[in-house]
Amino acid sequence: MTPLLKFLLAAHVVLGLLGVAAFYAVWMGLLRETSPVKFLKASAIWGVVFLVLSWATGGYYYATYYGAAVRSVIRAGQYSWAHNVFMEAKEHIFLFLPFLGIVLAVTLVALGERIDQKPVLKKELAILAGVLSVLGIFITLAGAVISGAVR
Amino acid sequence: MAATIAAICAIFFVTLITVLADLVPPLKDWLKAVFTHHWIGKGILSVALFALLFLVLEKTPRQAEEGRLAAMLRLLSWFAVLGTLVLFGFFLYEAFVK
Repeated sequence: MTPLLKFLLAAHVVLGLLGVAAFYAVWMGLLRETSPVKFLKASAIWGVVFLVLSWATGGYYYATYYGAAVRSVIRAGQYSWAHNVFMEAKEHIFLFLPFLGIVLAVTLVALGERIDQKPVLKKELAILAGVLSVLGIFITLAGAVISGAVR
Repeated sequence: MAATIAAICAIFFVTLITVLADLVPPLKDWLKAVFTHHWIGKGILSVALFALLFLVLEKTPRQAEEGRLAAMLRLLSWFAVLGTLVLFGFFLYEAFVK
């Protein structure tokens, strides 16, 4: 693996974790009685940026290296299910996350300081941020399973 | 509201095209031929669908209704959860049952 691909793989992991952490912070912020509105907006916007960058870096690694060099190693080993189930699910479920993040960011920016006056919307946004966070954690764990299967 | 509806459609599209592309090889071959990789094709098409729907719906005049937006946000959460279960279940089936 070239140094560029190593860097992109590491960046994909770090940026993905930052994205999930940002939306976990949005989830926790929305559960508070008084919302830290500026923090929520900034965290959601940064979360989208991190997820999109994680998508781009991981996507380049996946499309140019993983399929040719890593997939065959995993499928030939005793943990072929790591690719056939976890990688296949991870790479496609990941595509949901930026859309969920954009909806959170757009809605939080549009509502602004009015968020605490709209408890029904606030609850639904908290649920959405929770779903995004849990999916992000699942994808992270799937990545760990895939990395383990290569070794 | 526009972003929420567009996201619901994009997630539904990703789930549908992923399952279909595995069941109908010519579709996967087409994605590879046009976009160099089937996964890149799914990503580009889902972003294009999201952007197109967002722009169209954003320009569609409608009353801003809090209850409707809340219902759409709930629907989006459900689509994300169900899409995840469908995809994970589908790949489990493909790996161990088929």
